[in-house]
Amino acid sequence: MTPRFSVLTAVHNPERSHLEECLASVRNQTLADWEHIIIDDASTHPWVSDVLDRAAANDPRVRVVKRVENGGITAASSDALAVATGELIALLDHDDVLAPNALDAMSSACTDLVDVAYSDHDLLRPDGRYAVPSFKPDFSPERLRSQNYITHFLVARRSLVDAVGGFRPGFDGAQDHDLVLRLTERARGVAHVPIVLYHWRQSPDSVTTSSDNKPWAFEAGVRAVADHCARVGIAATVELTEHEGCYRVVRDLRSHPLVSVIIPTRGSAGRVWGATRVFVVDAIQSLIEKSTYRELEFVVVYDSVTPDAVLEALRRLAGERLVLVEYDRPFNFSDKMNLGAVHASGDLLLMLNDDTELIAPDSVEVLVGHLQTPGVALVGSKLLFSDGTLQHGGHVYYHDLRHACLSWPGDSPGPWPLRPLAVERECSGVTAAAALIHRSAFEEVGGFPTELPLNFNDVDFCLKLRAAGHRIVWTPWACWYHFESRTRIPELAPGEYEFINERWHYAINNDPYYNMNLEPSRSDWLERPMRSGAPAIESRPNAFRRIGSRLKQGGTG
Amino acid sequence: MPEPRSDGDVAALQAEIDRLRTLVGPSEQSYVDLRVDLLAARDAAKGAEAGEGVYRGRVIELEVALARARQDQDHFQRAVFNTIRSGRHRIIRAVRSRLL
Repeated sequence: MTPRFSVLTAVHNPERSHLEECLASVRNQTLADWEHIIIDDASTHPWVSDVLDRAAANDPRVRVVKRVENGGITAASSDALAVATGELIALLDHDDVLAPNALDAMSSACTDLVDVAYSDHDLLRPDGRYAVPSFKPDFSPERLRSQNYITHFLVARRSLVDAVGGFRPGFDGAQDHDLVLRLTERARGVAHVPIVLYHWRQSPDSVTTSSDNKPWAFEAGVRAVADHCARVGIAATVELTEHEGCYRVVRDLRSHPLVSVIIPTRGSAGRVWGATRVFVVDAIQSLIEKSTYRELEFVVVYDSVTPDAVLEALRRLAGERLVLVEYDRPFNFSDKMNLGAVHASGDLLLMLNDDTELIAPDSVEVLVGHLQTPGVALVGSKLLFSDGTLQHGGHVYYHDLRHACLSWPGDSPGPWPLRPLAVERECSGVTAAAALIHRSAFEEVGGFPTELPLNFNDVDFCLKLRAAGHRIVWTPWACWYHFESRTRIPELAPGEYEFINERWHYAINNDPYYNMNLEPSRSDWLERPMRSGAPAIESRPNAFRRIGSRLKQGGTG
Repeated sequence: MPEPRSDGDVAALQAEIDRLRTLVGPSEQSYVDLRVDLLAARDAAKGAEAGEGVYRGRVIELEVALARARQDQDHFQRAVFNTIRSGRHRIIRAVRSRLL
């Protein structure tokens, strides 16, 4: 009978104890329906062959194939795939360990419409303790282009692995990233199991410890992502970033469509960096002076109380590119944005708060580039407070509505190991303080909700977009200052929270791009208690148990 | 073609120029200096605030690390407590079984 799972392991000179732990972890699976295909990639340690032969002799589900010559991880994995007979292919490195329920949990996740599944994982330290769990988001294709956040434990349908050509040579060190990119391009469904099912051994020369050991792995990663972009029709250049294992996809613009910048304002002034500024004037001035994107139209929706001098300054600054729209009703952010959209000429709408200043000159290009990707309707930016700390890194809706990593250092990659601030990624929502959207998507969801004049209007807007099947992306490469007060306490209009809670109760408590193993009502990727790696302490030898056992033996003997 | 200004207009404009010169002082360079001073002061304030932001951001990061450490410490204490409690029971049972 054909087994459901084929676990593939390429072996080359591991430490003996590590290999034995690896083999035992498969042998001890709670699900029995598996085969373990082990390729000995011409190990030179003589005991390797003995250990593998013994494993095969003790369990008929273990099959060992010995290569005559060392061919590397890709060749060995391809050999393993060639002899595998299972419906689902699972990848396990020769020194790593599966949780006892790994195959069982993955079997449940791989329903009829799921072709690829992955789980959370953690690191197995040299002292045997587990540490640094990776609590991952649900499938996030944009993020996968920026980093291989999936890594382990990966399971894919055999038919799909064959269809994408299996393991490809030339990507050693990033062969798993290359494979998972090709798999997810064609998968009908990708499932995420939010359980730590894989313990990735941290060895001195492992990529898990330092990139200095394997810089070529990340260079192979650049090629894997570039190839992926070419396959899916993204014209782009892929670059390494200062954060190891994180890539930047710089998209080529097919065209330079008109971008209508919609700015609601009262023409107010305030002090920033010790000087007084009229916010809306300086916001537009920074775009005109710094932005390298020239096809801009400025739609300023101003309250009737806006001083004439401000309007005159805007006319001088933006000239024919300025569209002034008077708003004479009580303040309603949503209504003002909707009105701005009506008067905009562009097919792309850049929603911008007036208390902003552009930092990265190519920000608009970055945002426009993302909207060239089918399925992406809204792209949000990285926003910094005036002191350079993070104001916006994407929204997190997990038992609260929060900005990710609020007030973290502006140049921080974010919490380890996933470093969400260093990569472009799908989000449940982004702030409308600096975000670009397709006009068609804006109109499709009816714009902003006028029932929410002050707060949560961008949350509702984003959730409507996602409910309509669109993706929302946050990028760290488009960057503005946002001079919002750090200490501002949102003044809720009556019924605002009730409105959002009633309409989106499930969505604001279950963020697919966060993780249920993380602490609720936070947005800094802090693990829930006892899930940060500490539980491994329980697996250490219990001195008291041994003492009690000896006493008992003495008493009964 | 611009309309010729009246003598009164010219006189008023000249008076305004004189007033502004009085404000500026003997050197018109003062305008430029003032602008340069303002920008330098703004940049200094920006730099100082950014320096403060570095520390503020670091504090936030450390707060998260502290929260994680407290969770781990709490877990460790529970683990040790449970170990001691179960160990104590085992020892008591073993001693009893020897004595009885």
